[in-house]
Amino acid sequence: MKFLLTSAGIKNASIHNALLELLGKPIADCSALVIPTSNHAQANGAERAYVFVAGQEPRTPMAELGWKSLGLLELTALPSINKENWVRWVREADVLLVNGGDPMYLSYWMQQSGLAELLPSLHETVYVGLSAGSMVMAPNIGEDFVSWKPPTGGDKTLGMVDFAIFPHLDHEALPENTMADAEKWAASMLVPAYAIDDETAIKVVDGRVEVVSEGHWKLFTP
Amino acid sequence: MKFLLTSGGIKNTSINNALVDLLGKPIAESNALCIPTAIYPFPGGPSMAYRFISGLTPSPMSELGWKSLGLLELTALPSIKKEIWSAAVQETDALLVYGGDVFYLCRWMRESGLADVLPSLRKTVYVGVSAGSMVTAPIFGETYDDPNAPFVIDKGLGLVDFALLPHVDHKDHPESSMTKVERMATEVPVPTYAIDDQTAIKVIDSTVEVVSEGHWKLFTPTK
Repeated sequence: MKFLLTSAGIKNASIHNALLELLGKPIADCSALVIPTSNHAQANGAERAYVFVAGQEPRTPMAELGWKSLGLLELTALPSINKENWVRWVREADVLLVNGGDPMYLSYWMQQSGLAELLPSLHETVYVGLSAGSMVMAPNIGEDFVSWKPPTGGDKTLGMVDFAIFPHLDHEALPENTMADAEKWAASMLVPAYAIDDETAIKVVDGRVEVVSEGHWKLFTP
Repeated sequence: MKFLLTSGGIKNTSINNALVDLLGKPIAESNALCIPTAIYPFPGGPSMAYRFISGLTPSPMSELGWKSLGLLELTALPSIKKEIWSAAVQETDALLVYGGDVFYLCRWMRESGLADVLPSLRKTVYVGVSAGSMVTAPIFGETYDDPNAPFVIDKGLGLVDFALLPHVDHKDHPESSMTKVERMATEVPVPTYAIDDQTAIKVIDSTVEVVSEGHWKLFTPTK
């Protein structure tokens, strides 16, 4: 599994190029699955899920990039459908486009659905996360970001990368996402923690981490 | 709750007019929630769900020019706060319920809690496509595209008091020729409408009206 962990999708040419490099072929030759599950737990989530899937949210470009084919993979539905079917759908996809929303809800359903278990075996597949879709790949997200609470409590997420992410750094609509907030958040984290703005993404191949940015970001080390 | 139960979506002007009539205002001033859940168990589920949401299927629904659209995911509802989805459902003008596996849809309509809420939504228009329509009946059958399969019957949601057999004489649905549908209808103990893709059933306060630019037939139980 290769990762492109973004704050707000494929926002600029540098992030776009990083995506192409990970895919190893043009976007028009790639099939993608969109995962809107993270939205469901949010107020206004129905509308957010819709615009994400339909590629109608220009502030966070993902589904509208010109993919060869697109499918909707709904994590909450997976336990009630034939596993052979959905495992095949996932294996056949070149890329998973995972929307943001509620991180703990997404992490919970990644595990409940069985998808989290399957991901490490997909060597060629590119995982593109957006906000919470990126954060869940960390070992934990920090208590500040816990909204929906999993039955077991806590802030533990999937741990498929060994750093944590603070997205939307200095976003004008998010006064609680300043560099000072990020610094405070990072102080509570036990792993390296990246604060990234919407023009930044983190690329991970075989455990090698590279920051791709046309904006600003900061790495905090514990 | 008002119903527009279609076989193939808003296929023609008559069905479109019936929709506008039920909404009581233009589509461009109406909000809708799309429910793709029924399609997931099907072999091409993700692709068809995507196309339904994006308005790219042969069954026109989300591409009609709604003021705003949302995605209501039934399988997610049990794990989220009821206030969240209940608010979305109360505020919407229409629910667009896609087809697929009618058993699966019926199960999730119930398990999600949506089936319990629907009768209280007086002004909301429920627009079904295929299985999305069939599920509202007190009883439904399904052959899963195999003309030789026995016609299985199960209890539906009973939101309307008739059953519906869609896609009559559709070239891709050999199991739904009028002759075969007639045989199936004999197994159904409630009035059963067999409708083609150019037909819809409009229901307000139990008043049933067939809207059609195609063909359809009503079967009434003899026993």
